Amino acid sequence: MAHKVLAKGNEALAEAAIAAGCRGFFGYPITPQTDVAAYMARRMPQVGGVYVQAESEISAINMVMGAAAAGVRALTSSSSPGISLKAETISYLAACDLPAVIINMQRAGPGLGGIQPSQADYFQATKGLAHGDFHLIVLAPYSVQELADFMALAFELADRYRTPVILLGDGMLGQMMEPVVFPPSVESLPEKSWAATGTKGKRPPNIINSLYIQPDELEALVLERFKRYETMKQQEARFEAFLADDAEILITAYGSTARIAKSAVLTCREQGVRVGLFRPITLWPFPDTALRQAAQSANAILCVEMSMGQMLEDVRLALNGAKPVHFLGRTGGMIPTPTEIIETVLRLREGS
Amino acid sequence: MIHSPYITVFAGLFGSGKTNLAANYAMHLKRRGEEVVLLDMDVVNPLFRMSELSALLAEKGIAVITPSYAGTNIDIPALPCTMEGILQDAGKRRIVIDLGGDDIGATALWRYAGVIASAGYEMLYVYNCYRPFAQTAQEAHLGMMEIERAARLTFTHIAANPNLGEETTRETVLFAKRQTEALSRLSGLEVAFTAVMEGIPVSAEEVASSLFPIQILLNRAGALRPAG
Repeated sequence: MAHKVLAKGNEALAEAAIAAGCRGFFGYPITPQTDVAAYMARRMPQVGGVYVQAESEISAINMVMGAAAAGVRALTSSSSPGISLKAETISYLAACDLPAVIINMQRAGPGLGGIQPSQADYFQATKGLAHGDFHLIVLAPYSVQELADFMALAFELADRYRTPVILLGDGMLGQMMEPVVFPPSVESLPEKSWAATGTKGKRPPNIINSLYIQPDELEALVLERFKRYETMKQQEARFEAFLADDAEILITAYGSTARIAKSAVLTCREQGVRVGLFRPITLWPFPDTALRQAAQSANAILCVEMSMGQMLEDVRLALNGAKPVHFLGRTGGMIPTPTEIIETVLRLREGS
Repeated sequence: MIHSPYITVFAGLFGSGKTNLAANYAMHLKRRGEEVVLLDMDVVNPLFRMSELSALLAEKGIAVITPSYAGTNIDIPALPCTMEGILQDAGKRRIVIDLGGDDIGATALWRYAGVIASAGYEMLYVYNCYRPFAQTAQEAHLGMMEIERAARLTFTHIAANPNLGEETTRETVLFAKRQTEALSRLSGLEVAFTAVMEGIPVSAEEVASSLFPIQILLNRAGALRPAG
């Protein structure tokens, strides 16, 4: 039997990052993700890594940039308002093709909002997050085990495509406890011939830079990067289709909301109502082809989110009018209940 | 199980199960016909906290005093002034205290350490050896001493709470016995009881302590079924 630990989501993220070979954590406290930093403060010294509590979120992400430029697997963690502060440097990371992982355990917004769970940063995470032409890979786990597994995946994808990766969770996932088996420790990291590690007089300097004096030079670089984004779209879109094949109503939901939706689906099925769940695991690239396939038998789609309707736009784009798409959302730190979802499903079923 | 002082404090590392155990313990006292008040002194945990059980406990006739901003959208570690009065009146009814995790969470107790010590208390170190930083008795003991320093009160017993959440089995409980005994030896504290989820077939002889049957109360009203 694999060794299991009863871990909080935030603890699982931290331990899995260490297992993935992350040796630089730079953070600044904010509820509900402070446990990530607290865990790292204890564990990093034990594995010879670096933990720095920076003087601000902006400082923390710039430390990540420095560490990533030197070829280190680096991580920062925050929650919604803190991510807004990091935005500028995330654009710089993308512009410099630097791999790094950024955790956002979302809380209610806008503004200072509140410390209760939310999914209202979907637009922010998936639509570029900051200035300029770029994308980020966005992973959306829905259990403590997935938080651990996707942390390993996040570092792997970041290195493979030389891109920042966002791990998008929420306060509920961060605080809930479940048994988890950690992925095996990464023994050797991929070679990074581009990293600024010192020439030792043997090679030309590696320059990490995002300023291009000639516009055609910058355009060529952005075009090359968008080719990489195409590859990501082809190869990295991930999803789970749960009881979707014969579903009359297909629910779309991600993260902890998908967890609640799954409870609702199971209850509906027990009552003989054919409901399914489509759960995007990568929010960017969005699994649009898979959604179109999963929605084939459905008369209607119900998108459930802890927001006023953000993923809803990608669901509508993917289906392109082929199916009616309805929405159920809670916001401000409120969490949808299985009962509200079931009631909405039953209403839609009567209407169709 | 344990003798009956006026005040019972549940303290321990983050996520060791203090809130669930304290709520179960208050319900156990109530079933025995005692008057109980539950003081939620957790000022560090934003979610999955006692205030979510207030309605359930009130139904059973157990008063719960929670931090003023518990369960709200803000993070203000303030305890209501009624707590002091309740502790001063210890003796009128049984008082169960649910403390926040680690030494950080235990700091909230310091302010009341004097009144608690003079009323007579027991303080239980809730121990789940399946949690991070608790998997060896040495680590768990270190955490225990840190909490004592922060709370300015010393533990009187260990409350073993070995579990892997919904995946807890008989083996989970039995495998933990060795760890609990090691912690007992290191700390010189007796094991007051081993908390076991109802329906898990384990006997007191097998865990070498009395058993305390518990229910899992904190699960967002069943909203979250196991993933998979």
